[in-house]
Parts: sequence; structure tokens; C-alpha cells
Amino acid sequence: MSKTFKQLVNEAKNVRLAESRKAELRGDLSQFIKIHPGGVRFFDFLRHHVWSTTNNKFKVSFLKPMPILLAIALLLSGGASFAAQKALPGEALYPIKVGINENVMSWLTLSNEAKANFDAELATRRLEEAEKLAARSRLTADVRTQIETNFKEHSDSVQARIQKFNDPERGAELSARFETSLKAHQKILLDIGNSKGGDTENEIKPLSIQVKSETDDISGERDSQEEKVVSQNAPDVKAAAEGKLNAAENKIAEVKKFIDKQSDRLGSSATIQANARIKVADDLVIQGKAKLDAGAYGEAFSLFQKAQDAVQSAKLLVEAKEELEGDDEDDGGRVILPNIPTPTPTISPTGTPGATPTASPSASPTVRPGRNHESDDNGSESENEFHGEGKVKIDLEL
Amino acid sequence: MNKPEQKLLSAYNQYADAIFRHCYFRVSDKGKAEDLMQETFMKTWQLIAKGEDIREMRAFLYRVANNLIIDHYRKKKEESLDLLQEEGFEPTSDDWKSIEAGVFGREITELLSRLGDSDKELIIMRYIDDLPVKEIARIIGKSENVISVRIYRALKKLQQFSNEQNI
Repeated sequence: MSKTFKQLVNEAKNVRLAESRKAELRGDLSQFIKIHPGGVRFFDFLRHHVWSTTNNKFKVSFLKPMPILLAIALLLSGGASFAAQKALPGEALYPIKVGINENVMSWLTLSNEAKANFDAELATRRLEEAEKLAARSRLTADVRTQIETNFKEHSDSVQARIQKFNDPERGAELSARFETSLKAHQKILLDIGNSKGGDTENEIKPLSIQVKSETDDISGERDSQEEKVVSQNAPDVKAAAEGKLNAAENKIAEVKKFIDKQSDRLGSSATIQANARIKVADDLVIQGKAKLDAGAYGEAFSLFQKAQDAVQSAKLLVEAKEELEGDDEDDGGRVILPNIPTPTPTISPTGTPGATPTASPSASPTVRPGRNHESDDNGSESENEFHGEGKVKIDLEL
Repeated sequence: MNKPEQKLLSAYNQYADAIFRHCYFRVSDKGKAEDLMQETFMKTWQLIAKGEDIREMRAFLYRVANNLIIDHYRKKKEESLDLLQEEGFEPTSDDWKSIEAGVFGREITELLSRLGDSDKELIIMRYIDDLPVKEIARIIGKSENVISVRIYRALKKLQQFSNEQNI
């Protein structure tokens, strides 16, 4: 075998964890052992049951001790726990979603980094809830305040945790990803507000200001983390830039495939807009590669990160467009009957998730005050004209 | 601290770097390698807590890590497990770009990436992890002869790749 292979192998043997990181992970393991002396079956149950109901982005690390009553509640709740995942503020299962499901997930994450990721997920989740409620004209002042408080708490926690990361690359990655997500959600909220107008727009404004404030904070943190990355030794910065290039190109390829798959549903105009955003990312990669070749590794790293942000943003907006446009209908237990003359309006109770609308013309419809169920001249439904509020439109244009 | 706990933490002190390194060269992702390493020790603890008597800790840890790595590949959208476990594949520039650069450069990762995963696993265990053939055979569950032959064939492939790249 050539001498070079031996040299490469000898270099490879030097790959190891940083001492501080090794110590941190040892501490995590030690804590896990202490609080998890033998409850393997229950841990496996939770891991399967609760984890399977959430998006698998975050690693399940460790289990904290759980009050026995809560444990029993989880065992008994079974399907309720699963159904609660889609609950929105004001709905019957929402307390299970936040009070049990999310708490359990929080207990399952022990490392600082896992907690930071989970806080970012929860902050984003609150915004998505606000978007869904706003799209359905259900974002009241009380609910908006509750969401705002919860969102800020998680967002502040993300930043505080990132400041304690040992690895600035991971700090830069998470802060960039979170910043991009917040910017996208701010745009989505404003688009919903503009589309709906009226009370919904009034409630969205203060929330959007809060999101902007948190975005500015995390943006500052991102700058600080990227500064740490680029101030490392040149070979490390080069490696970071090369790694970021790979990540950006992977992400671009992934989002291209995603948009291709969605193009029929999106329509040609929205697809063109989405692809224009991807083009921006491609151009940033080209610029970054030029910097990489020129030895400007720090600048290359930033450009590749911006490329990743651009496609992440495109994907979030497309997902929101699909989720929220046409989701104006309130399926929380209300019976919505198109093409039926407007009945005497009654105030509907809080709905139960999973209720399906019926088409029986003899059923007394339960409607929101002010909803007009008459069809417009084009034959399409206009039951979402609540206090003059229009249909949701998410704009993908740059 | 009780005895099983002592045993596992002592194993951590001794093997955490090696397991991390092994995972790193298998999945080519530093963050993921950390996660896999940590999960290896976690799962091992679960079995110790259940009463499992682990006599050969190093081999056991490698076996657990290997299973987790296979699970990781199965979850990956872009790669086919079958493809990885075949004789090897001709990388396109996209295949190469899909591997993140490590802390210290691309050369070794590029060379290894040209092998199928089962060959890569053997080369990493034999030359980077410095495991004897006998132990590799126990970890993988094949005879020493089979392992020796496979390592030899994998080395020949690497030599061929090296010559093609004029290393």
C-alpha cells in the first residue's frame, strides 16, 4: 500500500472529540444513568408513542424522571395524546399538546444543543398555530397574547442556549436556521394579515412586531457565532466552508425535488416564483465557490450559509402556501354547508377535533356570526367573508 | 457509583473517541457521529440495566454502533442501503458533494467513500480503529477467514482507486 495511504490513516487516527465536548457528553451520559436505572420498557414505550407523533428532527436523548400520575395519564391517554398534536389554542386537546406531549419531549432532551433545537421547534410551532388560527379568522386578542408570550419564552431560550455551545459551527447553523424560519413566518403572518384584513390583521400586527424583535436578536447571535467560525485557524475555516458548501448543495437539491413534486398543486405562477428563489441560492453558491477558490474561506462560508437560508425560506413559504391557502374553513367541529341560504346565526361552541361536515340540507348549520354562506356569482363558496376578511394568499415572489 | 455504572463510564473514557471516530468515517458527518456515539453508550446502558453481562465491551460497543449506523442509512432519503452494501459505486460529483468535509480534509473520506459500506466498515475497523481480524470477525459475526479475504479485496480496490487518482 502506498505511503500516502498510511499517512492518511495515521491522520485519521487523530480524529477525536474535543476534550471539553467529551466531558460534556460524559456528564450527559452519567446523568442519564442516574435517572434511568432500569425503566427501559417505559422509556421504549415513550420513545415509540410520543416520538412517533412528532417530527423526527430532534434527537431523543435522555429521560428525566416523570411524576407517576403523569406517566399513568400518558399510558391512558393513548389516542388523545396522538390527536392532540394538531390541536390549536382554544381547542379541547391543546392542553395535552403543550402540557403533556411537549413536556415529555422536553424531558427526553438533555443536552444543551438538543434543548436549543427543541426550543426553536416550539417557538416555530407557536407561530404556525397563530398562522392557522389567523387563516381561519380565529386569532383573538387573548390567544394572540398567549402565543406571543410562549413564543418569546422559547425564542429567548434558543439564543441563551446557543451562547453556551462549544462548537461555533453548530451555533452558527442553528442560529441561521432559526433566523430564516422566523423571517419566513413573519412574512407568512403579514401575508395572512393583508389577505384577511379586519380583526385578523389587527391581531397579527403586534405578533409580527414581536417576531421581528426576536429575529433581530437571533440575527445578532448568528453574526457572533459566524465570527467565531471564521476566526478559527485557516484549515478549520476551510473545512467549515467546504462542509457548508456540501450542506447548501444538498439542501438546494432537496428543495428542487420538493418543488418539482408540488408544482401541479402550486400552479405555474407560484412554481416560477419558487424556482426564482432557488436560482438566488444557486447564484450564491457560485459566488461562494469563487471565494473558496480564492482562499477567502470566511466569506465563502457566509455565502454558502445564505444559499442554504434562501432555499430553506423557499421551502417554508411553499409549505405554508399549501397548508394555509384553502384552509380558511374552520373544521373544528363546525358544520359548514355551502350553497345553503344564510340561517339565523348562533355562536358555535369550541369544536372537537375530527368532526366532519355533513351535506344534509335539513341539518341546522352551526355558523360563525356574520358568515355568509351564499355562493358568489362564480359558484364558489364565500363563507369565509368574516367581517370583510378575504381568503388567505401567501406570496412567493422575491 | 455502583459497579455496572462504573463499568460503562470507564468504557466511555476508554472507547468514546474510537466509537466516535468509527461513526465519523462511516457517516461522514461530525454532528451525526456524536449522536451515534452517544446513542451507542445509551443503548449499551439499557442492556446493562436489564442485567446483560457484557464480557467484551469493545466488541459489543462496535456491534451496537454498527446497528445504529445501518439504521441511520436506512433513514437517509438520498441513499439506498442496497446500493451502499454492494461492491461499491462510481461516485458522481454529486455523490462526493453529499459527504461533508471533516475536521481535517477530504482525502481519506473521498478514498473511503468509493467503497461500499461493508468494505468501508472493514477498512475503518482494521486500519483506523486498529482492531485485530479476530475481533472484527466477532463483531461482524463472520469467520476470520472470510473477514481476512474481504479486507484484502477492499485494500485492492483502494489501491486501484489511489492509482486512478495518482495519489
